[in-house]
Amino acid sequence: MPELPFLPVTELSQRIAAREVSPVELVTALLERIDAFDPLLKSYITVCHESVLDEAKQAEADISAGNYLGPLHGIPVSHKDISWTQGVRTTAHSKTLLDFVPQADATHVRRLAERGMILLGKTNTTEFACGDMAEFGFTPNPWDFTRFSGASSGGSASAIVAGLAVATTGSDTGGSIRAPASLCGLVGVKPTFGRVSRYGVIPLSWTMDHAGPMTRTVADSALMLQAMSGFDPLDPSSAQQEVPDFTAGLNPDLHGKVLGIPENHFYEKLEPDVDQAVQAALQQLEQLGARLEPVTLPTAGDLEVVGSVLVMAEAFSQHAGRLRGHAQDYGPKARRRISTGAFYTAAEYQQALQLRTLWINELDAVLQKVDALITPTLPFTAFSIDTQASGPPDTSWGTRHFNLSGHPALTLPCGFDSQGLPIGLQIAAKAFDEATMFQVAHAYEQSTPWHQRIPTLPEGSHA
Amino acid sequence: MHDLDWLSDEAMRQGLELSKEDLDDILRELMRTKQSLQHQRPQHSDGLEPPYRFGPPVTKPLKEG
Repeated sequence: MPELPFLPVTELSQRIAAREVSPVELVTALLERIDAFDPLLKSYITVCHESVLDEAKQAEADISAGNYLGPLHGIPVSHKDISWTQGVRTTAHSKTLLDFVPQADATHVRRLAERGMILLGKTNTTEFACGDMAEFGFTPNPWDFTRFSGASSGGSASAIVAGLAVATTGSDTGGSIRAPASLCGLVGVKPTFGRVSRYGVIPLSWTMDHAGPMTRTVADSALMLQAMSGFDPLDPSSAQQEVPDFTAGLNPDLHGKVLGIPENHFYEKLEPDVDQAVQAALQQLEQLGARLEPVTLPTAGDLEVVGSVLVMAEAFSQHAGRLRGHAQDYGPKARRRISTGAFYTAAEYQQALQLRTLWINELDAVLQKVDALITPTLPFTAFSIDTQASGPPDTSWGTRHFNLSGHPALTLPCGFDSQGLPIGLQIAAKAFDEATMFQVAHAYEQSTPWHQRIPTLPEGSHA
Repeated sequence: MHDLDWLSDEAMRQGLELSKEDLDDILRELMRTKQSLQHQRPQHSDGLEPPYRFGPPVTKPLKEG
């Protein structure tokens, strides 16, 4: 039996409800690991050492008194340090926000707290989710400390895989939840645009930002997304859509499901180990009863520039005021990337929107014929920290497509390469059909061992 | 296509304090993306309206920083 910090939320939840494990015991185990390993892992910007223990004691008392709030009650959660947390500083890893203490929670933070989750800490991210990690340090990948954990929700990913968190949230503008989840061997979910409120999530791109959960298992993510979802009048892009029970359909039978396999872009230029793992995953999905259907998405390979123009033009419009007064307080990477958005013309921004519409129409047409799309999340596994510093590969290569379209997509582990690094499989579905996405993912996950692997942290990585 | 002088003047006009290194880097990215856009012009624009379901900027009652 793995130690408590390595158990899925669903299992911890059952044991807490049965009073076999106390939230205090769980939080204490996590804090001990954070104190031991985080000085080198740097997955946290802020750890709520005292308040989380108080909250755990309160949860324990409430549960003992019969006031059980449900399966998330007493479960610690760590939020990416880009989501507002009332009374706890929220820096976005920026020098310009070092002293920013929000007066309110982000809506998704509040909703998880209302279900009984307790705040463990704020996880590391790149500056404003698009720059460097200079102020608080760089988060290495727990599978290999010489490699990158991914961006921009890398702290949220590395904390879970190293056993310093059991559930986290992240934000995803071009793949910032799914890429680190893939590189670290976790489940990471970008919900449908509008499903989860972005109120209180420091924006990068208003039309591409999404907030979502990161966990060890698909069921854990379904449980968390359930709590995070729903209409929010504080977010004008929030959707008035019913939130179904995402956990109700989690079963191993994929008979009747048709899964689209793109013939272009997504399966091109894969590292051989990634190719092999993904092909094996497709065979496994067939064995579970799914029918695989080749599909073509002609513009899938042309979206890098579309995403860049939209994100940076929108990021500049968000940051313009702060940049004008404090440009030199931004790190070079964030300052340069965001400032690029100042120099696109309205015609270029509109052209990018037109190309986005073409892509959405193309994807919607394909998703009328299949239940979900299956792709590799990334064509490679975790790369070195040096590569990240000198010029990383395109980590939105297979993910930005669903930020542009708004469709839901998740990643889950589908194997390891010859160096022991995780490989991710991406599943995307129709708008607001996260239930199908979760079902396909859960069926695959439960028939494979990949989600059960735990890294051995290198000697000397603890304080 | 823009050059460094234009970019420097435009940055100043917009009130952005950017160094020569910043401008060099930005110019490289603009050249790349703008050239790429030139090669991706849609053949027609009928029916290519922006997706209206993407909402306007979030209005926050509280200020950051």
